[in-house]
Amino acid sequence: MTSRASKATSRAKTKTATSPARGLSVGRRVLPVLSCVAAIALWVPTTAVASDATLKATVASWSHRIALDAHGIGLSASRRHPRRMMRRARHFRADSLRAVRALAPVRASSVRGGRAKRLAIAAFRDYAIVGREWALSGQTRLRGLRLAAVGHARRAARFARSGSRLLVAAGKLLR
Amino acid sequence: MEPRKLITTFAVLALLAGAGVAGAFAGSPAAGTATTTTTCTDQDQQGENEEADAATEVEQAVTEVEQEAAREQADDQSGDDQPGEQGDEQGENEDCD
Repeated sequence: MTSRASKATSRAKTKTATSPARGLSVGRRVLPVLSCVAAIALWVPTTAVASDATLKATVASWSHRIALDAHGIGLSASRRHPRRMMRRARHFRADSLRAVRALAPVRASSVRGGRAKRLAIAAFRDYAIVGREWALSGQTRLRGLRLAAVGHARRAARFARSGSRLLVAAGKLLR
Repeated sequence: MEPRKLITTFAVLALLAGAGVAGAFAGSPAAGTATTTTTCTDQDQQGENEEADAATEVEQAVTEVEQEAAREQADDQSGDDQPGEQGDEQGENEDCD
């Protein structure tokens, strides 16, 4: 009887002794997993923001350059300098194409960013056509083909409207 | 050191490492932006809405080019042949190539 009682006590002691050990082993497994999950949770949103920030900076930088080019073209046109306007228009086209090439490898990490990237690329492609049409307008003007020059200028205007609309929409998405 | 303390230390270190990597990723493009803007900000303050500014400039250029194309008046050939002109060169001078 005594021995049976002592056996029961020792079994109870063993049970109470093993439960914290099991808790410790569970903690040992759970803690690293939790810390890894927390680290990933911290890392993923910030990289998403970082990619969209890069995209925003690239779009802003090329928009700034395009604005400067367009400003020069407007000045040359207003001063009746078609040759200079032609040269600037080619530069404008080259910059637009460079903008498309610069944006292509930039990865958007959000749905809005992806949409903004597509819009911005389409906008700069339209601007590339605008540049070509402006250059052709200047060229035909120099040859004395006024009607053809007007036709190219109008075609440029159409693509410029479309490009500007797309670029502004891209900017709004990135804000 | 006790195993529990060791695990806690590792967990804290892992969290710090995660935060550090995230910070580095978030910081690098911002630094890139700073370098891109500093080249231009000396001449022209980069605004918040570059896209709208570009659209406005392009619209103005569209109007000028259409007027120039339709103009019956002869072009300023002597001015066009000159290598540089104050104001007219503004666009190229401000360019951040």
